[in-house]
Amino acid sequence: MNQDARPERSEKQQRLLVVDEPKALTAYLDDLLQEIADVEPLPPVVEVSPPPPPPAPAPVKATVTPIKPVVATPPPPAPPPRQDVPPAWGQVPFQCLLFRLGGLALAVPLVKLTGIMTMPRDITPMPGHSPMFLGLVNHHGRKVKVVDIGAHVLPPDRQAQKPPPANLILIDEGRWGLACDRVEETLMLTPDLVRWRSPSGRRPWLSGTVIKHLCAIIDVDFLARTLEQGDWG
Amino acid sequence: MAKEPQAASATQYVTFRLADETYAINVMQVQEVLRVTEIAPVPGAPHYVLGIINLRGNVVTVIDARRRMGLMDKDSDDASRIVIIEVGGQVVGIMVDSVAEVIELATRDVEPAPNVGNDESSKYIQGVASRDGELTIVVDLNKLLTDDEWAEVASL
Repeated sequence: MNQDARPERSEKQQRLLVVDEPKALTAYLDDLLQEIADVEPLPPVVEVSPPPPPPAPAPVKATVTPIKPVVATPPPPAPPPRQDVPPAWGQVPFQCLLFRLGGLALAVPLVKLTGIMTMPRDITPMPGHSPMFLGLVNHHGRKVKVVDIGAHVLPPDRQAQKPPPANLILIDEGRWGLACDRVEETLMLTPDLVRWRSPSGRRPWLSGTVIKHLCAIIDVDFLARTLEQGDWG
Repeated sequence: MAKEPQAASATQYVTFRLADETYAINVMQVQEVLRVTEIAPVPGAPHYVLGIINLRGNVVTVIDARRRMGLMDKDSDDASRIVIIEVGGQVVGIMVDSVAEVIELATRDVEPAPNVGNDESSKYIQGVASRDGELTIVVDLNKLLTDDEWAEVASL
């Protein structure tokens, strides 16, 4: 009896898994959207009465020192503003390339895409680097740095399910190649279809999400800049 | 007349193989290349130290380049070599899969090592050069170990 029951339960579990697959994806995108929707309220302003003035100091003999002219130093460059409105390319209808990473649908705007490659077999690994850095690939005389951003982008339960990468998404003039499961179609999007990321979001690599296509648009400029700075450990 | 820029200068490197990849080290730091001889293990030595050898009466510490670079271990075979190098007055041997050739690389041909993950342990990678469609990893032997590690190896 029990033996008969086992396969049945197993089938149920499998069915559940199949049903859970899109649910899990939706949940993750919901989470991204939630993050975008969440705007942390500012702390309430508490009015504080000014402290009593300090007692007047005893009169002292004033000494006058000549004031040297101060050369004004320019303020340090401000960090690039975090987007809460569409970036320039997103303010008009734009095209995105859809690709899969660990089953998750991600997209890069075509204006930020350098190219697509079949995953090469001869990647030169660089010892001692972060596991996300898969190595270098020689492509038209350029050494493309191949990275797997799955560990940072995917929810933990999806990282183990990642199939071997089939394609590389080239960004930043081909300096970086993002390994992905596979490349899919291109989408034509209008700005109103995208929920743009809020500045307070926890995922700065995210430009926004498209609920209609259940995909997340990558902030390619941010990704390339922070990869170059070694921020993705 | 302006002189040729320093960047155009070339350096000779000895190349060796590790895990099917080609590495290059400055020829000026290579003293000799030996076939693998008996290596006496040293108790308590760091994991990347294979042991010591007797090189014409001198004791030389042998470092396993694979272990140092975080690669899979591999038993030595006929192609394995111990490259005797000199770093900051200290003579050590590094065990490699095989020694290939002496090449010349122009400084401008060596691109700086990528900085992904900002890992301190990869600072020994000086750069990458493209040769015959393949990439050669240029190693800065001075940074193969940290100062503390060089001191530890010297005290074995």
